[in-house]
Amino acid sequence: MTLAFKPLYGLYLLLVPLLLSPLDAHSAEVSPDSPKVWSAAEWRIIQSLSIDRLKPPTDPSNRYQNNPAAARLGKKLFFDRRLSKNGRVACASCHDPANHFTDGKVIARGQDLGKRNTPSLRGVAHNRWFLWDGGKDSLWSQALAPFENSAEHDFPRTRLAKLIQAEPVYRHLYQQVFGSVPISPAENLADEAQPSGSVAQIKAWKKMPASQRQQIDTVFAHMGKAIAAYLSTLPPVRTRLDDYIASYTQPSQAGTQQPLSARGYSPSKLSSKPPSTLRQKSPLSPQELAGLRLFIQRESQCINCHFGPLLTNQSFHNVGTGGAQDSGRAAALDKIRFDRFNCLGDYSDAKAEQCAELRFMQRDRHTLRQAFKTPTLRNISNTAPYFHDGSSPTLAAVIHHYTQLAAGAAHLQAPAFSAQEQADLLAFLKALAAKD
Amino acid sequence: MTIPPRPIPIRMALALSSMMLTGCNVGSAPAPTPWQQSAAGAEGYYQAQLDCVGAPQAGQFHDCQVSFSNRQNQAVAVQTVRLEGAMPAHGHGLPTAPVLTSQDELGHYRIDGLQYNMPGRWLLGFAVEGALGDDRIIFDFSI
Repeated sequence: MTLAFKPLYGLYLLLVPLLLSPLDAHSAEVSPDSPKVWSAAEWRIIQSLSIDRLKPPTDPSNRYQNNPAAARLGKKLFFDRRLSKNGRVACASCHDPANHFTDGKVIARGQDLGKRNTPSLRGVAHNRWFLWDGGKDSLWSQALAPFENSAEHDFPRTRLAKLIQAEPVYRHLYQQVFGSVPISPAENLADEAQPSGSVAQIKAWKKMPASQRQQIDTVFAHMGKAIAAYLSTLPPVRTRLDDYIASYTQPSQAGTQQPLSARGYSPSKLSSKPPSTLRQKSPLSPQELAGLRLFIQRESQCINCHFGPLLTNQSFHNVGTGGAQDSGRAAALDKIRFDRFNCLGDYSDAKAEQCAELRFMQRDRHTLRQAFKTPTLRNISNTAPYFHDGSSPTLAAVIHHYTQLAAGAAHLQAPAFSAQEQADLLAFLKALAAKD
Repeated sequence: MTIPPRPIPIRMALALSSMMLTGCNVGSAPAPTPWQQSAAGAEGYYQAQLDCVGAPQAGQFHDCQVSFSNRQNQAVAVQTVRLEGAMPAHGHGLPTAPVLTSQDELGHYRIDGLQYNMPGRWLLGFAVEGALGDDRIIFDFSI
């Protein structure tokens, strides 16, 4: 028997008095530039942030994720400006490799002004949910959405499929990975047909036989999987924080790292003991270390959402940035469930039991209203502006935003950072920039 | 209220015996330590035991079961049970919607899809309706 899951409002009322207890007490202050700077508990938390603990990404819904030929096809698609209504917009137009795979704009602009800020793609294959509202549950499925969005590529899937069929290079690459393109040039496909969009586009889509729609969707899904294969070759950035942690790797274990770092992934064995002395040339400055100390303290609340090697809990929170215009995760819930390209859909390579994130996703709109995905902090100083709406131009503005939160307005309480603490935290966040 | 522990469920016993047999394997990942908690209902009608394969951690799914018993610690069937979690310091609930599936006629349920998304203090509550009455059982723990 499976029981329905409903919000337990009565139970929540019972829980409320327990929610108001104070946070943990401060840990003892120790000068960050002195020996024995971290307690064992603090060092465990710091080590958990190391990129060397990150495993390669896996997506059971995309069997081509690690296929080099698929990645070659995906890279070509990613940079192809022809895949847009005006022939001037590629994925790389907003996710510019020269700009850390983002665009530096407040709101993305393709064919028109979009809705939200462009996130970076470095390490994106490690995400569980995609887009600011998690409206997609896989990287390959996410890669499809911008093509048919009228503000982005505005390029229906029928035109994409026809281009793959007609272009010799694309046809060859496609065949190498997926087999023959399942549509023939003789077929009289409508140019402008897609299941969502303008009335004319939807009508054209419905007019097509079901078998033909399925063929188009197959090509479309394969394109997404190829782009995802390319994006999976972009590991998250290595930072000076990682070097700081690695500098305390025990010498006898250091050699085990070398051969494993081919794609930026190097699961090293780290010392379980906190550093008793700082190296002469620490990768982190005293101020950055002070910021790190603040960052990992429970009462600062940073570590609650920004933990693990990716510095994100991959979850959705209201951090006081939502407005009446954008209800965030709450509005995406049905879209995800009924997406034909989700993990449980016909075009997924996953078994149902491998789709736990989708099967058990939280569907309570009330708690997810104006909630957005926690972004990674890796390389954060190079990906301004910030938040889903690009409303904070600098990291200093982000920190200030949190200190000004009204009680009960977000999933956290406003931390009481002094000016010095804000400066220390900012210094630490900047130390998370890419080294390359 | 202290509750005497119930007999270890079969699955947990299997996990323990498996650990005993493989404990000396070099290079294999360490087996998670079983995590067990007990709590009594606010009305005193029911008590519950939560058995998980490992201790709760933020950011991953947990393999857990819950069993209900009366105040004499005898397994009892319940008519309905609902699960909800809350993060004390932040006023939000679980990131997922776990599903309870009955395993037998004696108040034993499997929990699928249980996940926490933050370190810190969590409350996991079960609202139970049964022949003994309506009750609410809350587990209070930290990650």
